[in-house]
Parts: sequence; structure tokens; C-alpha cells
Amino acid sequence: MAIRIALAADEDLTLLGAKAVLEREYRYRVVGTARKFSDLWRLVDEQKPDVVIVNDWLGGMHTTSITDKLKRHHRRLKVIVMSGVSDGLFIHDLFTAGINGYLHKSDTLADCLSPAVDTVLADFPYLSPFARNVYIIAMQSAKRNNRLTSESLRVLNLLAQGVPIGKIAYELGLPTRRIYWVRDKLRHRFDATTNEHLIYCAMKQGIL
Amino acid sequence: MTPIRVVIVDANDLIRHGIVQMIQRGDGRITIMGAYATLPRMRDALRLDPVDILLLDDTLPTVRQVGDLILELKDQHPHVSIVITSDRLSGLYVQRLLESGATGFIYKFDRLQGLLVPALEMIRNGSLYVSPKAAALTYMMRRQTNLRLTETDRDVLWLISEGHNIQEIAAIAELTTRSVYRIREKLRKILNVKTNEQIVDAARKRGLLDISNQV
Repeated sequence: MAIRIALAADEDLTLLGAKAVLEREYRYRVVGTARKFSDLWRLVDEQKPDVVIVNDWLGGMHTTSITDKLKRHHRRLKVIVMSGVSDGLFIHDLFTAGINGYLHKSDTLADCLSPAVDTVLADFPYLSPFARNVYIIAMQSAKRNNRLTSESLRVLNLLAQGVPIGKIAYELGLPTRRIYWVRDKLRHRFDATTNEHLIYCAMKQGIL
Repeated sequence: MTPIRVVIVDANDLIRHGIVQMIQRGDGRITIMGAYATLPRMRDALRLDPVDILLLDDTLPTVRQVGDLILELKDQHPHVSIVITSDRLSGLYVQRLLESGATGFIYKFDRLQGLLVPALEMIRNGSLYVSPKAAALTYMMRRQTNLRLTETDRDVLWLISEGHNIQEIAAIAELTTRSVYRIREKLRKILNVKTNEQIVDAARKRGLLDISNQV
């Protein structure tokens, strides 16, 4: 029986390319493509794929939220993320959030897709060559435990929207001191000196 | 009518496959002369066969200054129209590429199904083409520019995003701290935001701040 794969990406070109590459192998069947999360959600519900290959920031939604939502309702589903983010700590965070594979866009993805699908279906994590390197380097760093949690991501997003610390604390129902602490951790993780710099660094890494 | 001869160069092989697939749906109106991942192979292809349009990815590992590359290619192959394919959405960037001699700009996140083939036909017929989202942003940026944003304002904006404080910005840009405060206030007004943090986000969204490498 063919392995059922759903593809989700903002780019038509990536969707078409990945579909063409996967369908060269008779073992795979692309059951559908989606350009936004609501479509992906419907696709997964209706077609019950074995694997979802998803681009990061699908329709402006953060990959950790996408993974979290998919995994909560479809526990056996394997999620492979395609991304251009070269931050090993970010990759680590995604695996902690529940993804099964990570493909970096600078790698030869046409060659990586098939081993990635087979590896995650065998219940092993898969990292494409470049992703593997940055991941190993990040795991040696002192910041390896400085995780981007959903809380820190929410704080980061609100900071980028210009919301003052006091209001962020009120919105998230947390003490102001906690928000300062999260912000300092974020600055440390991104080596940023000011809030503006933090937002800029997060944008540059594709996290905002 | 003779088919349009196209060469594709893109570092991402899935995108390359995607472009080929999309073009092949164009009922033979376009002939793909080659699809490559690197510049040297693309240069060989341009030397060997006549080509009408070059679809050039701006994230190729060896390309540091896309603008310089466009100028060089235009010098060597004046009859080839160069279309940049990019995932960078910045009005300023698009404007600089077009000034460097690019004939088109295709933002990879635009909905390109059904657009790519007509776009290539437009370019062959001598028109400029900028894909919808990038075109909208370039238009918005021009409108913003008309709102009195000078080169100094842009420098201050860039330095704010780099995390410099007022005193540092004043020293780097050779301005008084009072001028920097005034420019920051002006940026807030133009971008219609209340805080400094919002300046960076709003400037990027309006294409006034390019967060990738410079052209």
C-alpha cells in the first residue's frame, strides 16, 4: 500500500516541485496539497495521511503551533518541516514541540524527501545534512537550554506589535517580573541589546 | 510564434522542479533550455544557446551582490531579459533590482499558478513584470517615500533595527542626538506607530527595511 503524504506550503512552486519529486516513486501517493492551515487541517481529517510535509510559517502561523495542533488530534501522524531557518536551537525547539523531521532549504531536498519520509515512518528523527550540522553545533552551545517556548513566542510577538511590558503581563495573565525575565532570556538567546534589536534578529532568523 | 527560450537557475531544487512543472503547463509556448543550481553551469548555458529570459534566484550561495551580477550579465548578454525570483519581500529591494537592469521580479510566495507563463510572455514582449504582492509593496513604498523619507531617515531606521541607542546612532550617522530623536519621532508618525519596537516591524511590513543582505 502506498505511503500517503499531504503537502503544505505557501509557495506554489514548492508544492508543485515536491509533488513532482515524490510522485516519481510509486511507493508514495500525494493525497493533497494545502496553502493554509485550515486547508491542511481539513486535508488531514479527510485523507488521513501518514506523513505531512509542511513549510514553516504556513499562512503566517508558527510551525510549533501547527505541529502542536496536528499532533494533539492525530497522534500517529508524522510531521516533516521544510524551513530556511539555520538556527540549531530553533530546530531543537521544533523537535521538542513534536516534529519528526527537519529539511533545510539549502540542502538538495529532492534527494532528502524520500529518506526523510522513510526515516520518520520508522520512528526515527530525520535531519537533512545542513540541519544536522547546525543542530550539533547548537547542542554544544551554552544556550542549548534557552528554549523558545510558546510563552516566549507570545511575548516576542507582542513586543513586535509594540505592546508595553505591563500590558503584555495583563494580556497573558502573568506577573510583570515574569515578562521582564522572558524578555531578558529572549535577548540573551538572540544576542540582542535592545527590544528593537531583538525584533530585528528574530525577523532575520525567520522566527517572527 | 517561436517559443520563449528560458534558462532557470535556483539553489532550491524543489523550487526548480516547481518552475519546470509550471512552465510545462504552458502548452509549448515556452522552451526550457536548462535548469541549474549553480552560476557556472548557467553561464555555460547562456554562452552555448540563444536565450530570451533568465529566471535567476537571488539566494544562490555564491551571489553576494545581485545588482552587480545583473549588471555583469546584462553586459555579457544584452538580449537576455533577467527576471529575479526571490523570497524577499521589500519594495526597496525590488526597486534597486529594477534599477540594476532586471526586467522582472517574481516573489516566490505569490500565487503563481496561471501567472508565470503570461508573465514570461509579457517580458518577452518588452514589458516589465513584478508579481502581485511585490508590486503592491513597491507601490506602497513609493507612496511612503513621497511622505518625505530621506536617506538620513533611512539610515536612522536601519541603525535602530541594529539595536543602537540614540547616542550611538548620533555618533555613527554624524548627527546630534536631538536630530536622531526628531527623526525617530518622524518615523513613528510616518509609520503610524506608537512605540520604538513597532517601528521595526511596521517598516519591514511596508518594505522600508530590508532585513536581508543589501543588493
